Amino acid sequence: MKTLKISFILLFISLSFTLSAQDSAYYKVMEKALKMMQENNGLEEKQKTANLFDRISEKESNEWLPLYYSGLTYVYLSFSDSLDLNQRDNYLAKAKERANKAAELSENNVEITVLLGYIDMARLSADPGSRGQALSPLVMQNFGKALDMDPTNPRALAMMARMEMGMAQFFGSGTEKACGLATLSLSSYAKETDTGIQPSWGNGIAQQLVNSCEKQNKQ
Amino acid sequence: MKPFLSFLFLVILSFSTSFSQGQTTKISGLLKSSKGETIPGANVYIKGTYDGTSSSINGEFNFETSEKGSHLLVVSAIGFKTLEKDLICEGKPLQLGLELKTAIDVLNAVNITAGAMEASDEKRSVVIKPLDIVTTAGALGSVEGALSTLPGTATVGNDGRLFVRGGDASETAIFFDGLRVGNAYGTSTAGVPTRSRFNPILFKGTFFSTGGYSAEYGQALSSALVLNTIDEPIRDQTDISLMTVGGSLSHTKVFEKQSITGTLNYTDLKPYQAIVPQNFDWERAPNNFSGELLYRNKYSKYGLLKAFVSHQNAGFNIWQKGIDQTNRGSNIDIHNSYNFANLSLKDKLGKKWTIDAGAAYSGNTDQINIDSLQIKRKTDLVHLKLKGNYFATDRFRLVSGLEGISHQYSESLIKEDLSRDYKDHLFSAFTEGDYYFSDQFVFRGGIRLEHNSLNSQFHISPRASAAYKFSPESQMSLAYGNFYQPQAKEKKVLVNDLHDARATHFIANYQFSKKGYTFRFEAFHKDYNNLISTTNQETNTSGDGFAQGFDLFYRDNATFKGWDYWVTYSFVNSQRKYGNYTTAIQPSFAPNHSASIVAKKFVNKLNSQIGGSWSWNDGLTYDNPNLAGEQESRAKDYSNLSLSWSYLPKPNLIIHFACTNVLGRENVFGYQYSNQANGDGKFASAPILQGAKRFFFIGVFFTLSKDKTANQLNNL
Repeated sequence: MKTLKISFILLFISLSFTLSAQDSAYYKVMEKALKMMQENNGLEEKQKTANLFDRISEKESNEWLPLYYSGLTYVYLSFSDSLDLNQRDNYLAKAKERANKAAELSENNVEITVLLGYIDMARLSADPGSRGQALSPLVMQNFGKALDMDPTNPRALAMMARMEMGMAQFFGSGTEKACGLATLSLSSYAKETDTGIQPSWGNGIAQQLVNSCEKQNKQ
Repeated sequence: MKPFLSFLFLVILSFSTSFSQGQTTKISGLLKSSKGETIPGANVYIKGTYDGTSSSINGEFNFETSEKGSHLLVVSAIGFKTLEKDLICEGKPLQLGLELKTAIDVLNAVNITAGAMEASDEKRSVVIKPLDIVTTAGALGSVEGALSTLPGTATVGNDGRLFVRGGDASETAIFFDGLRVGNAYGTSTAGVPTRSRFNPILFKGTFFSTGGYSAEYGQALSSALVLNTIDEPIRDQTDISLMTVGGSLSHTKVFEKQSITGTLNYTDLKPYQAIVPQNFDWERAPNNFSGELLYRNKYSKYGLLKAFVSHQNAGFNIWQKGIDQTNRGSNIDIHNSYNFANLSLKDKLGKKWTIDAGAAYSGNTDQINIDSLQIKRKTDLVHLKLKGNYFATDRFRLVSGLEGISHQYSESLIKEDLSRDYKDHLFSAFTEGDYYFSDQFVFRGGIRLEHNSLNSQFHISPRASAAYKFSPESQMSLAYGNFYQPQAKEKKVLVNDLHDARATHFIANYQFSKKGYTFRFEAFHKDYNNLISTTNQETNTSGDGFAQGFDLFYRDNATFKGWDYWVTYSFVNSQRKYGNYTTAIQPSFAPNHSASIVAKKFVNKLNSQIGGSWSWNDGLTYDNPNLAGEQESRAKDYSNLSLSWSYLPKPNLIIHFACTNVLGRENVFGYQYSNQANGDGKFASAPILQGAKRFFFIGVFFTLSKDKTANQLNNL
């Protein structure tokens, strides 16, 4: 009876510790920022989100996640419709700066490697005519490196699928590889359960690719 | 009971944060730029806390903090310098009016475009992209071929080299990673076009100046062409090319911090010339074997070591029939052996300094036999350079450096056992500062000091330029500079202490660029002094002259969907009294009017890039002994339409077709005359023609790598 009581108390204590970790100011503010990020909103709101992540990264100077998310938010910002090339490049320069800082805090991190590829992909799509040739190998290199680190990372798979799809469309070649990667990515996303504040974005990209692949097969 | 106590303690602990909040301080305010504009989207926060906010569309901000005492408020916004301000939080609301200073962002700020054309993927206000150099029809993959479609250049079809604004080919100095290249073009003979020795695929960026260039570069009267090699290859790959004129094999191996590329090339025009009829009388078609090794070592975060070594062996044998000669005329046999090595290092020293150090060697040996005459020429050039960049503030940057160039030249007649040579050592120091008064206005001032050992001359060359940006789209720049260049080797070897030639440039430039369009206008005046003069059997430097004119450039890749084209026009008025001319004449390499149109399009349906280029000038001047005066005549206008087609059946396979002078126009570069007048007192003449009507090229480029999309589009 006594042992049961002790173990019950121990369980309770450890539970409250985990709760308090998840309740920590850092975790809370990250959750708040991630919520802001998920609300699909305009340029001004995105800038606010990036600023919040930057503030968090200033305080939590050993955490890579706030830098990572700030970088990702700047990538999203660069996609805003109203921008000219200069402005897009400015946002992407910010994104790169943050991703590089994050990479210094966390070496060989598959998520950061995907982000670095994503940033170059955004720079490419800002001016594909003149940057395609120079940047596409760099993008492929980063996604390839990410897949070497973790062949099941859903974001690495989804981004590589997207790049392969673009290439296939450009060269008019088969989309089998792109579609295969997208399907793999979707099943990886399905296995990704409650990630907390860890990266979980990109499901939509994979889903969209799989949809267009299915549409193609029907035709 | 104890466990219960600790549980209670935990509960209290977890609530304690909410209990301790107490009184907060409200912080609000307004953000403005120094111009009085409000700043939205700025990040405003208390350093070391999560407390903060973003400024609104109107530049307003307000937030609360529970912090007490003295703290630092940080304000950061894109395009502005970060502001830090001390605050004391004691519960009373704080109302702040803050002004942010504009940060000069060199990427977006004004830049000096007078005389400067840069091929870069990264920077804007560029006229061409690195890829253009390899996809311009008619250039046949040569750097100078593509550049001669740009404003300020003239096409001299029977020479092949780069001619800038009324200057001869020697007035353009070529730099490889900042270091001078000796004998940058293959050895040739009069009337047989040559080409530069380096494959454009080596270079990631090209800086081409048509005048008024930086104090970092000297030893050239007209132009500096700065070729910067790629930093790091990114993957293992093997490239195989098979062409109608030869083939090449290249392999790249990438390690974690290092990479190495080895390339072998062989070209021989013999089989091609057996099929396609030639105007020239070849005994042995031009042939060339070369090997290259490229090594990269990224030894630290900012440190990069680059090494490049190449060896080339080339030659040809041609019969040239002078108008007075019988049979096949003179036989000219050329064997050329060339070595080039370049070692450069780039690193960062502290936060404000970057440093570049480099050494280069070019060694050229020519064995030339003209009938029974055997000539040997040897040139060695060593260039050492140390350069520091000091980034004082975001507004001020200083570049300074030291250089040593050692030049050695000898020529000998083998059978006669005669030879002569000279050695020249040049020391130079340069310093140049860029100051941004604002992101719209920049001034650059520099000075270059040079000392030559052979003629004991000491030169001070000032350089100055400025640029002003009227709007995000348009800007104007001015440039001025003084430039010195040693006299030609063939003359210096006769009279060792010949004074250096001097040129003074004045340039005004206007550039307008909007997404998809670039328009550029440039006017220039250039004075020449101390040019070589060889009248009255005497070699001295009493020649002089000038060149002036303007050029226009328009590029558009937006109006016609998928099409990218540019149009250039250059006007040059050049007069020189030099060489064996007794009066001021228009040099044969400086036509008055030059124009070109380049167009390209990627046709997705055909997986093909198609391109065309047309270049034209109003004809080269020549001397007709039947008429009074010197260099008084002009050949008919020059015109060349070239087409190319690159087909990509698979991402890693390219089939390339190209044809120059598609219309088969008979271009004439002047006339040669008989040494003696005939019975009527007239000198007989014969036109100087191109080597063949057209040049056809077919090549297959195949890339093997793990990354199937890698290809050699850069190679074409």
